[in-house]
Amino acid sequence: MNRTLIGLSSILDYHTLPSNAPWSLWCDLPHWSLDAPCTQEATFVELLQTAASDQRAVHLIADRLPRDEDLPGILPILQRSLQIGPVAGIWVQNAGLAAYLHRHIPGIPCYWTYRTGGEHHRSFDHLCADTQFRGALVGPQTSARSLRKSLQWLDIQRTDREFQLFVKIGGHQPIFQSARPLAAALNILPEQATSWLRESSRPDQEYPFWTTSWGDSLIADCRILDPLEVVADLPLEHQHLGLILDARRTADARALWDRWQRAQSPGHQPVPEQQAQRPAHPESPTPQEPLAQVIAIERPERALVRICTAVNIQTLQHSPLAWHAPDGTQRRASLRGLQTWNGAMPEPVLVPDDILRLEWQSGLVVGARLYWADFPPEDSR
Amino acid sequence: MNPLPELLAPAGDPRKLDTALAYGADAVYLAGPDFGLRARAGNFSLQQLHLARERTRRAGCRMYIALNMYPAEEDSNQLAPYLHRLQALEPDALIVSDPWVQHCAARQGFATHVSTQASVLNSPEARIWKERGATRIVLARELQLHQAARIARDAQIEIEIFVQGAMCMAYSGKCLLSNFMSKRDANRGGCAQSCRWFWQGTEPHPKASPLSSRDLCALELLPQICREPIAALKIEGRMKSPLYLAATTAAYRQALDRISQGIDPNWDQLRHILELPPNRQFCQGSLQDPAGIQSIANPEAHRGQAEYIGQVIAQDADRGLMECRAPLAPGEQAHLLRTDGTLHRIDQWRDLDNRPVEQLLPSRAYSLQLDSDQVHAIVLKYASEEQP
Repeated sequence: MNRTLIGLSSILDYHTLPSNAPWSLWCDLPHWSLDAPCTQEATFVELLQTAASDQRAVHLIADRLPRDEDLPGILPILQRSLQIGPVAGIWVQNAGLAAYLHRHIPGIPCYWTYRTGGEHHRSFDHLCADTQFRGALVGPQTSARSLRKSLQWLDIQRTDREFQLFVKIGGHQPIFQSARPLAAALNILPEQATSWLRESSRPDQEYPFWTTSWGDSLIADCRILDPLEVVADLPLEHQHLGLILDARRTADARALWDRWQRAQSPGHQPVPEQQAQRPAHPESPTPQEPLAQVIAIERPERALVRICTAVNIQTLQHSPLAWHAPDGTQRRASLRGLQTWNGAMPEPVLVPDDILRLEWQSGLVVGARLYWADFPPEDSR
Repeated sequence: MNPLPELLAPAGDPRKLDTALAYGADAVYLAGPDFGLRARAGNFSLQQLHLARERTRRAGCRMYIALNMYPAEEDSNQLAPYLHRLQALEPDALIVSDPWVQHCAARQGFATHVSTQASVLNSPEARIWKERGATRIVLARELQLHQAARIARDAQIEIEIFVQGAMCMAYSGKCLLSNFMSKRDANRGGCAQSCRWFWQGTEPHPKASPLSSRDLCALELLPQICREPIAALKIEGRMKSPLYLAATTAAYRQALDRISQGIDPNWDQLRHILELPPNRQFCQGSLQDPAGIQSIANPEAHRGQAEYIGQVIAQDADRGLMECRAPLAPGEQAHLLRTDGTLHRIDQWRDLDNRPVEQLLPSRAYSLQLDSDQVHAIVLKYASEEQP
């Protein structure tokens, strides 16, 4: 199987990834996944159809914690998925759900998602003994040392069939799962149930927060996993190690992919993006080039933008700018709250593909482009 | 009619074990030196575990030892020798979360109870644990009573539910806030209670702790619970005070005994006893309906109605000896929480020379008059003017 799974919740992201590279799709089974529960069924079907036509392996995430009465609800959507194309694996964090699936869809391969636990190699004993399980995603708290030990153990134990351990190397890392109505407790309206939390003694750290359609709430770590920073300690070449780049709810898939490629390049040292070499004096962008493009909105809090052109941040902040929406409308741009995607101060010089976040302003939509205000483009669409 | 559920109380240290036994627990759970989930509780040394086993046997009380942490790589080699040492104790069961720990314990002949840390939520999952040799499931606290009963019937395994005490806002065992914020592993006994801190959302209001749950209190649900196939009722709180342990065990003991006799308990009186120790206000968790917004704690409402003064540690006929842990000023009134759950006003204190005293000082012992066997009974004072 492919060793790299990419978590996607958008068909647009799918098409930004290299079509000839060996990666597998890791996507949410609608209403059964915790991390991106709002995935629309139409988007899901489109992702599956595209992957099937590309002959790309598909893994489905169903890491909900179901009660007895919830269990039958998984079968219709899963059977529909199987009609679209083969499913290489279904990812669960509940043994009862796995048993239920096994009984109703014999032979369906399962993968275990550790949210907690699974920090010692013997944790995988029972999973390995169950032929239904093909692998496991280790818990967020697992150390590189524990992972290496577990991989060594797998070398010894599993010679007769494939069992793979996966580690997440990019994206959000959920660290808290609750069944309580936390959005209401936090004065977050249901339709804005994606938001941010901060703990009063850590005002600079914001924790992404979201709720599922059935009411479960998740809080993620404030640091988004960056492949450039996390792969150094990992035994990447190990035959039993798989990697997950999770672009769901994170900046964008291509940015993660590119950083993963850079992390693999010979001689790479794990340095934060902010320390990478940047031009001291970038050339002024031409008026017709967009400076940045909005790639995600988390209304009413913030927007994520991808830098399109190298530009000095001070120039950017002191110049009149305008957002050009895809429908042709223009608005005066404000760049309040400009930070890197993971909450740090941006470098003085921004370079293409830098991902930044800033305060959302009324009317800002995904796809909007940032231009110098004095030089509107000929065609903003 | 189902058999009366077992009342299972926490025993954080040897003294609390005595308290739990005195106030009527059918069973206690405690932890030895390793693999427990409350690293900061007093816990028991192996020698103390042997003494605890003797005492529980003498009291006709079952004893369960918690090994419910999720071990890390460095812990895993310690399990086999630890289990070997526990075998001599013959505990009634071990409480476990990790499948590998459960497997090893069951293989060595221990009865195993699956901890709520494993978040068992459905019948297929309960059946899997049963097939692996588990004898009881402590269900996830997110389940409603009818769902718990369904699992008991479908999986044909003993079911235990929590009825009283602090609750995690997260599914138990599905929270790494402490790990990531304080570098303390919640699932290995180091929870820093990060959920109880002040958090703010998009519209902050002062001193909000929206991740902090109210305490569970299922007292008034007991008649309903007793009609369902629930084997055991657990009181949370190995790290809580002796006052908490005495009050909760006494209240539930009295309620269960009245229900078994077909007598309606005096709910107001029992509820009053439960409200004596500090609490985060009560809710019924998810037992009736999924826990809603009313299950979130108010950070300003943590005070109990009473304060712990001391505990009766010896008795000679009608004179008891109390070890004093907190002061009682002249004119302040103390009460004895009798082991039958009733409150008794203490009118006179004497020193060890039998001279009347007007005030009590901590770290001293005083005598009081008793009308029945009250060794290990708790002495308290009301925090406000309100008195029974």
